[in-house]
Amino acid sequence: MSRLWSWLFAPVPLARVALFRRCVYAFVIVDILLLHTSGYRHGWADPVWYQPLYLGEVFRIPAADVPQVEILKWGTVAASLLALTGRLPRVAGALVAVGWVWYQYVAFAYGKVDHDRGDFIVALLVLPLIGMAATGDRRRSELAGFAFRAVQLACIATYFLSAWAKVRFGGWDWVNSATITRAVIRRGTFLGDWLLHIPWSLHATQWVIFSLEMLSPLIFFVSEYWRRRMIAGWFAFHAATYAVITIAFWPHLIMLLAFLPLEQYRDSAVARWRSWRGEEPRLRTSTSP
Amino acid sequence: MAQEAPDGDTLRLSRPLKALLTGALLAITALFLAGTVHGSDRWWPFGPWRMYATSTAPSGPVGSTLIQVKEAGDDQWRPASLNPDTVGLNRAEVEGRMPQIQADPSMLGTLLESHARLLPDAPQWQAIRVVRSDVLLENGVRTGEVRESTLAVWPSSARTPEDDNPRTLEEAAP
Repeated sequence: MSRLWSWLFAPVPLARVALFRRCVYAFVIVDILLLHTSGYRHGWADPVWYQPLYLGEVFRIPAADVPQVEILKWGTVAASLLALTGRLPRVAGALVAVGWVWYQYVAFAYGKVDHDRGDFIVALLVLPLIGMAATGDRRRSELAGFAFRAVQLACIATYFLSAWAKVRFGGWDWVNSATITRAVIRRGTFLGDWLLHIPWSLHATQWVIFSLEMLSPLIFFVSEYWRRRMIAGWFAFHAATYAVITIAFWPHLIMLLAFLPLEQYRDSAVARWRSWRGEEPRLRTSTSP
Repeated sequence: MAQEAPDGDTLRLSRPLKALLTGALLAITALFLAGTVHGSDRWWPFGPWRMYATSTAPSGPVGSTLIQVKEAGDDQWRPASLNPDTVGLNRAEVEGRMPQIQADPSMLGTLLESHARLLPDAPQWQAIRVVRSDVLLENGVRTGEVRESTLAVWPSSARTPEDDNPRTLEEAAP
């Protein structure tokens, strides 16, 4: 039990929290304005098309109308901008969490649910718990450690449980079906069309995807050296998916960053920038005249 | 921001707080697991992660749903694009509601209204019908035959005898 707790609450630098927050809240703005906009137009659809999900029944969410989607859209963007400044992290973070989840709900409560957007909610829920964090803050925090562990678990659960869903809905025969072929026919790029001429490649891809998803929890049992390489491997996998069928699970890509020592990358990037500029390496000082 | 604490200082949590957080994590984990094993899309965000989870058979008809409209001053049915920018909904959302639409075609009338509100300067839609187009496949190859059948028309005055039977648009090459 105590070993499990020290794993679940392994301290993480607050600087990493500050950097991860910037990625998450900047992504929320891009997502709402550019990537996922179908909920916005539901404000103009007649309420007869509204099919409440359980979430909407529990919280008594009414059918969308134009004021509701405008407030959600611009209110969530404004809360994300506040969160990006680093001020009022708990209030701003909580507002972003409610706003983003509600906005996704409006998108999904008209008959079509996108299945790649569940895990990101975990990041939005745990980040406000931590409170103030600055990019130069070297202190470590057990609460931050818990938050990152929760995000990592949600991230890997997405892979593992989607393999489970393939067995539940597609059967064990999913690996031998034409599912990827169908996806490539429907929305393949020139690379996808090229793969269609090598049918065994798409068949083998299904075996590879299914195996990688089933084995994904192993990431928690390997050394840091291999953990980072496995994350790089998942980024490569998602880049290849995008190249072949132009589908990317955008929020999930942000979640993967929770496995990486972001503050170390930042420090080495800053040091490299300074030496490129010909500056002497120096200590960070907060000078005020 | 000035730091009072030296490098390497660690902020700890009390045991009751750790127990509370662990309990919350277990509860959310249980919801995600239950959603994967028993849940449906209505469970979102805890529903099953079923992206590309279904299996596709290599032979059989491939059906798709189309929307056709009559614009003001034009008596011909014309294909219309069905997406959030034109009617506030996307195609899958209309396809998923076909039983209700066939029971009550006046639901289609709301698409005419939404179109007028979203695109007030475009030609107004006077009538709308939903058509299913079946492309026939044999071992993954098109046979060349496409069948269209009308699923619903609104308003009912726009319905004509051609809507009563499937129409074959293209015959297989001899």
